[in-house]
Amino acid sequence: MSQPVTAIPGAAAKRITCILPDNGSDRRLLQLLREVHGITRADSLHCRRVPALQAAKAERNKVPEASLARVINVVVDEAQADAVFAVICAEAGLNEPGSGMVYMVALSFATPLLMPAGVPDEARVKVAAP
Amino acid sequence: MKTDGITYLTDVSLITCIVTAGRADQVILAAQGMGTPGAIVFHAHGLGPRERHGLLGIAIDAEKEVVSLLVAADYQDAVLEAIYYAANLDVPGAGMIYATPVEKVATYIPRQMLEQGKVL
Repeated sequence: MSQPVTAIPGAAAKRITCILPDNGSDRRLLQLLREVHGITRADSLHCRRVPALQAAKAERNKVPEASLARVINVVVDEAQADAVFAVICAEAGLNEPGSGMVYMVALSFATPLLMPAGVPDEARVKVAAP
Repeated sequence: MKTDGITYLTDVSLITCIVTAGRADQVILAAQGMGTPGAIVFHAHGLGPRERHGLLGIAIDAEKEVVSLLVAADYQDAVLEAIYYAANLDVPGAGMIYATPVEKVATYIPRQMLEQGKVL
């Protein structure tokens, strides 16, 4: 496939998707990625999941009861994708049952997400407010 | 960072199916019938030629459910076909399905399942 002819900044990238239980671990992961690794192209959304290892009983022709989960999408440059993937795997605690899963797909093009300079984080603004 | 116990998989496909709200269970049941037990579902809002279909434009529900599931790449076509017919995706406006190649997957898989080859 040919490269797009465009003046838009960006390059091929990877999208790392992480499925975690809805227990606040997604916020901790996003904060870590932003503050330690400088990754801003990340979001979190809620979903329901039917885990493969969950021993839930279900009626005939019924889906087992789902549990709430969070899906975190992280877009990273190709060069740092493997390193970020390893960090997310470790931070997500994937070595325990029910902790979720992480997968990575290739993106043909992604623009950078430029953040405005001099604007404090939302959480810090709330803490500083009287 | 502790990474012991994490299983890394390759040759995996991500199947994404967009159906009318309330029909995600049909997709999951079809996938389970093909040996794909895990899935996630989230809500979405569809846009398109809704008003042009049916009386009062209510033929297609704009509220959608998006089902994502990971399958072994070898079984991708079989699972796609099973879901396609189970969700009646051949009906106009019923939804769509697509597959994306996944470079690698990391998750926890019990040792006994690995030994039995019961993965994805």
